Amino acid sequence: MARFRYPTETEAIVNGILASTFNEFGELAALRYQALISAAAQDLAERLAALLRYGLAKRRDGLIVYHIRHGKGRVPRAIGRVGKPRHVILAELRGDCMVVLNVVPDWMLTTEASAEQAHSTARRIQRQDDEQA
Amino acid sequence: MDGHTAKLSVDAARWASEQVEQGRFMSTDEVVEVAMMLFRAEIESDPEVDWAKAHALAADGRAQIARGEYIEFKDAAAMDAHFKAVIQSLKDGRAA
Repeated sequence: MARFRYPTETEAIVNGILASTFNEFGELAALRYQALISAAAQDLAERLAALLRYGLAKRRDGLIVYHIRHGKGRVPRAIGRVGKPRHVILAELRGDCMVVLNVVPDWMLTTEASAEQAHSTARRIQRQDDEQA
Repeated sequence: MDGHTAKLSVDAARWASEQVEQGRFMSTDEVVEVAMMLFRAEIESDPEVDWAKAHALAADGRAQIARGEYIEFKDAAAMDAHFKAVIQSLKDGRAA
């Protein structure tokens, strides 16, 4: 069974994400986001090899990068789904301990070229949503 | 897939096609596993990671761990309960 370790500042960052979600969108939204962050960390601890193999998680020089949206499948349906999660976990595995080094907005990690591509995709999805509305 | 319908995004289909082109085939079980992961995650292609930024953003966390400034959970349930309690305290604070 894996242990989880958060630097004090990272724990405060997660608390801050939950607080801002709570204040902006309410308790249920905060619970959904909390469940997703926890699920993603658990995902990393329990099936890191598969996530790396399929490219859902990436690792270089020991540092693991994992977008929390990939943890959606682990969140019980009753809790509900986060529409567009926007955070990435930075972690490393130390023995049986998953160390969550930081949780950051995804845009902070992207190269300029891929950021433009992501914006382009977001605009396309928004257009499709608008057309369907 | 057990009679279920799976939607595959264009990006995911392109990824699968690339795997086949590279001669990387999977067993049936693996195909089902990855298909379910892709389906559940509603995967889009992840943006390219800027590893210099990633390591910079992880540096403070590593330093804190080295100094022993961390909180540790014995398992996923303990981690989950801890962050749920944070939300409960927010709720209590609002009610007070």
